Amino acid sequence: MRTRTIAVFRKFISIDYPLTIDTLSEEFQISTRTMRNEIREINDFLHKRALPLISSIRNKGFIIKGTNEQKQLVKIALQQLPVSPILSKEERQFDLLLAIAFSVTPIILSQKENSYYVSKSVLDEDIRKLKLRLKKYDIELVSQPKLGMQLVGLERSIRLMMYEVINQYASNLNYEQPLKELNLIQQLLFSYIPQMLINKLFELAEQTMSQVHDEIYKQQIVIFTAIWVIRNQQHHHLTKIRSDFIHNDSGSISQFIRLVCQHAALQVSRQEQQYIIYMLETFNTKDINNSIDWLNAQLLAIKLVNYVEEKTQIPFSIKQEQLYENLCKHLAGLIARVSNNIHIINPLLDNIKQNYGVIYSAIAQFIQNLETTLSNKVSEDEVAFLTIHFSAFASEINQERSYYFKAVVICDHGIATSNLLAQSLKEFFNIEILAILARNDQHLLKQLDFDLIFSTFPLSHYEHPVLVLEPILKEKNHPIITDFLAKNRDHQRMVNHCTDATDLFYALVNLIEESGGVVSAPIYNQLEKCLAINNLKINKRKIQPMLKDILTDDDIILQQTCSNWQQAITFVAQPLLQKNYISKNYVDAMISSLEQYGPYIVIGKNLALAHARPEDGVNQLGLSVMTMRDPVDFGNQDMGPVKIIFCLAAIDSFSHLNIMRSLIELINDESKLDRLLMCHCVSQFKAILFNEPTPALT
Amino acid sequence: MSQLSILFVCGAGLGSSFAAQMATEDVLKAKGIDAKLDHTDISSAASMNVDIIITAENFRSQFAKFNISDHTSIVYLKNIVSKSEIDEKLSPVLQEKGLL
Repeated sequence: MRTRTIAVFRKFISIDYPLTIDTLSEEFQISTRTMRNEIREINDFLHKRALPLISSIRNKGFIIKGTNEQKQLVKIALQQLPVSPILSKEERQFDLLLAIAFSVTPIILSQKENSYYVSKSVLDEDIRKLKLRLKKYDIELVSQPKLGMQLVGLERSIRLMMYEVINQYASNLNYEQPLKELNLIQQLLFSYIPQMLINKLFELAEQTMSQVHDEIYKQQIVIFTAIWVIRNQQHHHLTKIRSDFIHNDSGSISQFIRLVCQHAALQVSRQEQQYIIYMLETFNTKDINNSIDWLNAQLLAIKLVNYVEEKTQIPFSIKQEQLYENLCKHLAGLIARVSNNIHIINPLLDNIKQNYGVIYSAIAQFIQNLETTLSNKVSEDEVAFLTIHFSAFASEINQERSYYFKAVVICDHGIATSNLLAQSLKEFFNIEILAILARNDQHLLKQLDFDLIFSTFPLSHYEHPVLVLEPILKEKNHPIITDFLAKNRDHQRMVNHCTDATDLFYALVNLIEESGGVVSAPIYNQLEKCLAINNLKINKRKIQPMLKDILTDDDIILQQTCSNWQQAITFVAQPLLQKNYISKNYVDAMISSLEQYGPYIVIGKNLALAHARPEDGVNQLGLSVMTMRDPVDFGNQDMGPVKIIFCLAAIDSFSHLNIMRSLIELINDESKLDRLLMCHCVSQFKAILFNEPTPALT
Repeated sequence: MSQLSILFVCGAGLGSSFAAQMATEDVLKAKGIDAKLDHTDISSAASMNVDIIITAENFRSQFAKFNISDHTSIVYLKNIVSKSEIDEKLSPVLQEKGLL
């Protein structure tokens, strides 16, 4: 079985959910047809051994169906499978590099031809490819008598190159699994870097650098250290002295290196020690020992946050302290890595690009400037790491903090106690404490702009919600406050993200000028846009409500008897008049408008829309509707007598847009109109009108 | 030529005119014509300088009393939300103005 087939096989064994051909072919970079052939080959193998096959589940993909015991048998069968000793081109090149860099015995190409089962020309081609690859690091690959193939170049570059190659081929180290269960690439790697060594390094890193929580960083540290150990064991030492390895000998990384040397019985020069500590520091996000890097990182973090905030319109600065701190730590490492050409690998790169595209591209744009300063390319992996920092905060910002309360604390237990109460409230809830008052400061309340009062004693204050609390806030009392806040949600405020409203001010002035005092559709839209740009949210449903938002049960009158059109208008206006949405004058205006201009309010077949001007007496946007038992003649021959009449109370010429849309839709839907006219039940009427499922008649 | 302007007129300038405006929007969109649309009440209509006025048939006598500029075309509709009637009556006017 080929190595790729085995890899596909392994994939199926390791995963308990169905895999589609598309995802598989993408992962293995082969056509869907080839992937089907691979599955066929695996199934042949399974079939011969009477094991459960890879079968397809409709619309879901492929899976090995079987009990756990059966799957265990499949696993054992796979392990006993003889792996073909023939390596693929990629594997061969990886093996060659590992051999040349880490093998104690000389690498002679003519011997390799035999062990790889390839011809001289194939191997020559591999060497040519490798040479090309090494060029970028200024490393040459030469054959020397007796010594075999040799890497010639700066030792620093050789180590970096190997680090990158290993990362590229074996992205995630499975150091805990038995060797024969690993894929071929990892098996190759561990035949040059003993798995024992990797395990030990992880153990030591765990011991000394407990603050490095991130597995990814830890793995990078281990890989780099492993390369350093082996190269030193084989007496490949740094070739050029560099004096700028400034570091702190007492740090956790120094301790780690001391233990590593002890374990490997390695005697290294002071320079080698300083070098490895310096390099590992660049992977470490926690400690910044170099003051120049620290300052750069600080400045860079501030600029970066501002830039990303501007591009994405996500208010990162409200979380600034924490975000800056995390970014600084990361950026210091990043600057060091980029300056030293160290490529850190981010296994989540594609995922991040896909899910946080906006933030990712904003950071990528910003980083271009950085590349000029550092005169080195910043990899996509690095950009993705920065994106993670931002996106964590973006989701935090979205989850909470969109609203807050301004509160006053009134406490009669002395300053320290009141302060503690205020601090606890701030800490656990979205509350801003505007003032802390004593018992006899209550007269000051009138001068303050706040939403809630927390008091340690009962108050006779009724303008604002008051919650009486014990002065020391206990955790078990938190739900009381949560409930209190939930109950008074109406009083909360939105966080205003734009600290400087100058731009907003000018934009509004321009809009007023442009409108000439008339609110039209374009002005409305521009105003909406203008507010959105400034992160101010408006409730669109409130500004331009839908029919169902404003038409309540008591606005609906069914099967009314009317003797003439004047009566019809008077009757349909009643609900709005009762709620004081309109005045009596408005009803008169609707009637006189018809007398003056004729029956133009009959806007559809059998349908009238009674209305007048806002200034005729509208207090609030409203709509009522009435169906009539017998049609009433409004004098409009084209539309026929009126069977259904709406009464509209508009406050301007635009906020009833969505209501008008629904009415036009109704006019154009005769069957819907017929069903409404037949209706005797308000809930059914609403269901038909709002296009909702009709409730069963009771 | 500047953007075509169409004004919709009814008694209050809120209901029927707004409805007619929405129906016309769809008709114009189908023809690919970009126009500035607005609606108003009949008392303010006389003073507006627009290319086309669209209103209901029953306002014909009112408009007769107004001194509307010669280059403003007036379209009267029987059914102010009927897209077919709007299309039928508006198309000749648009043709005349060289927009079709």
